Amino acid sequence: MRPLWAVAAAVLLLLAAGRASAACPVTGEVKLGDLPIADADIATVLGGADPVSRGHSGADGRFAITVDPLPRDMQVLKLVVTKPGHAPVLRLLLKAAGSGCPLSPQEPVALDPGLPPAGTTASGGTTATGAGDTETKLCAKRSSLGLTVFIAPYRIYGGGADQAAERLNRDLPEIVHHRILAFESSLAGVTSFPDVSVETICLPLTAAQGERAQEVGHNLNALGVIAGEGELRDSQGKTVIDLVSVFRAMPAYKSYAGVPLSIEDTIPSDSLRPSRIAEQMRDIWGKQIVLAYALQQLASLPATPDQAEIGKLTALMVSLRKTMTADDPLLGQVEQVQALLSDLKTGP
Amino acid sequence: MAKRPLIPALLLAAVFLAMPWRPAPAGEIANCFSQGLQGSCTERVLENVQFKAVVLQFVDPAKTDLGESFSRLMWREILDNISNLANAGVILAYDRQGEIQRALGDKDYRLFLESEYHAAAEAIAQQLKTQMSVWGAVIADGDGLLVQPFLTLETGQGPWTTLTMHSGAIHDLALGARIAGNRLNLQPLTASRQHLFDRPFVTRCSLSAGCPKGVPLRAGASNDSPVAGYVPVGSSIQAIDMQREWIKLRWQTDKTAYVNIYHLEMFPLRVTFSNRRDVALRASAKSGSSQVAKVNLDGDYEVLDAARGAGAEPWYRIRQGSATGWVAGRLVARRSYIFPAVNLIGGLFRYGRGDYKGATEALQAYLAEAPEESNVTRAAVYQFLAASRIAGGKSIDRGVKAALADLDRSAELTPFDPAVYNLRAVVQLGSGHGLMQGLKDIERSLDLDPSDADAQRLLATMVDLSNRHGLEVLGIDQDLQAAARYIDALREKYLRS
Amino acid sequence: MEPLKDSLDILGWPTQAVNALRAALSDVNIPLPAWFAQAVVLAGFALVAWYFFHWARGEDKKLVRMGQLLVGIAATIGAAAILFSWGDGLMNQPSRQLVGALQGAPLDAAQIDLLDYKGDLLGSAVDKDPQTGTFVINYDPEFADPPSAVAVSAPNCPERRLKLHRAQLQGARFSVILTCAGTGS
Repeated sequence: MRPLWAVAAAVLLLLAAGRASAACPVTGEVKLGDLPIADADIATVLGGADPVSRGHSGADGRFAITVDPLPRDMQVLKLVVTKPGHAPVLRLLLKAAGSGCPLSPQEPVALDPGLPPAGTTASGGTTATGAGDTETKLCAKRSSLGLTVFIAPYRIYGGGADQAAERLNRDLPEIVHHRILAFESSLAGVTSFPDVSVETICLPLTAAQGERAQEVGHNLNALGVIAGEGELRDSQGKTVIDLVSVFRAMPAYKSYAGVPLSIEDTIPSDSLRPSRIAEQMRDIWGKQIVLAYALQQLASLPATPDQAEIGKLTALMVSLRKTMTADDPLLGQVEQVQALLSDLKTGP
Repeated sequence: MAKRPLIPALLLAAVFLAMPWRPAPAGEIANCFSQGLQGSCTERVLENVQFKAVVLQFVDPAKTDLGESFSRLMWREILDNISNLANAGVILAYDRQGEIQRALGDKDYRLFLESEYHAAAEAIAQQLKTQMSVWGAVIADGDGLLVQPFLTLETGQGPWTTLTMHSGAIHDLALGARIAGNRLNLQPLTASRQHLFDRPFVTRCSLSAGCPKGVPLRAGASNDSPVAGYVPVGSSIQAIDMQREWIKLRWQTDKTAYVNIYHLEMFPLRVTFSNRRDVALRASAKSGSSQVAKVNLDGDYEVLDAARGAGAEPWYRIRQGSATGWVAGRLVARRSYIFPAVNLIGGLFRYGRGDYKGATEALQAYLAEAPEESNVTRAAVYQFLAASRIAGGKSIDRGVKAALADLDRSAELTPFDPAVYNLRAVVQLGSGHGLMQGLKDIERSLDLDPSDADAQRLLATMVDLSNRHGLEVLGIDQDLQAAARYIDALREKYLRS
Repeated sequence: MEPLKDSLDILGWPTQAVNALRAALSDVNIPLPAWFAQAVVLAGFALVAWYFFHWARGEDKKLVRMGQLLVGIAATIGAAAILFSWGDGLMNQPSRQLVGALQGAPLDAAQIDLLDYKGDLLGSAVDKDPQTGTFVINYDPEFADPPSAVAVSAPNCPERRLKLHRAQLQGARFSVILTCAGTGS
């Protein structure tokens, strides 16, 4: 009897060994156009099962994963490649005849180009070639055209609002850019306005650090610098944040420079959102950008300025003033710039 | 003898067949969602529509996937708002992307819009020959969303944004000025993603083959997804989110499912009644159904549920005190949607189509609903209101008085915009009683912008009239000599050859 | 092997006949599961075969006997075909995924549906790989009741229906070519 049992056990073992799944290697490459994409998440999905994360693409965009052979009644293994900022890409890996292993993709997995957030660039420690210490400290590159608004990170004092502050600083540039673009493009009679960018710096600035903000703005050749801060406090049993935001336009013309605008607001602590800050400023940021641009253009005019250029700037100021009420805080500045332009005009 | 009636009948038939496609009422003319027929339907109908708007995809830089969703929602809300307006249409750009792309020279209209905003919307409106572009932006806002609608008016499609008056005494003298503000940034709304779609919808069947099993629900937001089940046509469902053109809803207690937005009726979120007394709240959406209570309705009421009654009239279920019941849509003074701008757009549609009474009501409703709207937008709305009163006024005097009051409000809001003064000058001069006032307004306008084309044209007309000794047509009971001297002084100072 | 597999489709006529009967009954609100209808028909065929063979044994006239034998053989073949399809279904599990490739229209815009024996939509989920033009239809096969066809349509393209044969139900790949208006495919 014993030899029989031994034979049976051996047969069973052999069967079990036979059934043990041979691993199937799958290799591929993740690309965006011609660029290899690192750190893309690679996952596989079999039928209706949950995705299984298999690893990430390397610095060269390549990946190599191991999966089980496909069951007899399944023909395809789904490969899902995801990368933040891009739509997930699905590839179907067909089963090879015989081995049951899925075939590696023949072509690189092409990520959807998507759209980078308008007007924003990644900030975080990169410096331009030949740039000085300032750019390193500020984590931003000097603007070549002078058409960039830089936002210093808002700090919220008082504890407990770190996450809200993080979200605020992350989303504020996009909202500010949106409001600037919306305002500029709504100006009647203005056929084109330059593309103003909005970028972040990593050096916090308080509302009171006017000189420091000016220094930063001039170093970066900024069109404007936005800084703000908030403080948590208790108000009748509820937590509120006292917020202050300051916009400083950088360009100046002769002895005339824009006046910084400071806006204060008190909001419930759970309402700290970029839109609330943008709403505080309404279209004032947009108006200040237009004013700053006009000053910048004025400052760059030659000694005998082109009358057509003067005409364009005059029309720009007229369009800007059309949007203002009698108590607009920027009305006085617009009228001053109009007076400067009028002095430069010759002829009818 | 027998053949004779045949020939006229054949002729009649030929005439009928040769007639251009009968203009359809607004509402569903841009939506022929029936498999295989959509393209031919919109092309044929919109050709003959005189007043059109295009709803473009909302700019979506953070890729929330809601750009298309909001454009569809906005499109459907506008359609609901103007459903009783003939010869007006709304195009959904998403369904005509190929055409728009070709018209723009193969430019991706979404990228164009995202980088140029109003300028792009204007170009697209020009290409599609629509009077308005409606679009917006969806921006990530902390843990919520900021959704801002925009309205771009295309002034090249006829003089619909010009206020024109013919002088009181002689009709061959037409004075006109353009209404300001053709690029309007409307009040954004900020909310969590869930709150934006948390509203009731009512199902309907939009398939040419009908819905014998009911309206299909899918497991995922795609036609490729398996059918999860069916709901009867006319059922109320509670939405919880949206993905492209798919509404996500709660299904069978613990599951979710998706239904295509074409299979849903759009009803307002709130309705406003204006001092309605003894209104019967009914048990169902029918005039003949039993009365639940008799109530006085005044103010805003949340729409708890909605349905289409006889003759496709909307009925709304509301709560008044402890009573809940159905009330007919015809009793409603104002409807409020996710986007308050829908009432503004509806008002402009009615103005563009000559329904001045409707336009006045809609524009006033919008002003009441959006007190936080920017001064530029409110000023433009008052100008359109003034134009509606002039065009639709039963009595010229009453219309003029009301229009001047609106223009005064507009001037308070944008005191540095020459357009307000041009319009006021037109109304004053056209009334036959405001010659000096009109001239003062022209001066004010030129003072703000000496190159303003409308003000220059108005002044040139005054100079011409003065030279021809024709000022009496504008001011029989006024000091014409003083007016002539004033005109001369203005001509010296401002008039460009 | 492939010609043999395809030739086995010929034996599908009894199940097609059963499905026609099922469709007719379903239209009058008497839906019958496939296996049950086939079992009834199988029993019917077996009974017919038995009776006709029995009669043939006792028949003197040669011509009549031949006729009876032929009917008996036909019924036997019918029964055997049903039994074979059952056995085939048990031994060779149908694939839970049908794999195809689309030509002539962009895969993103295409609508791909799986149809049952009546031509109605069968619950399925479709995954698409636009980069290669390949798609896979995921569904839960039912014993003795395979899907009959795949329907593919796209904007500006008339619908194409591809009848599914045994090979494809076992996992063989197929191609669908759409002829679209105004496209240079």
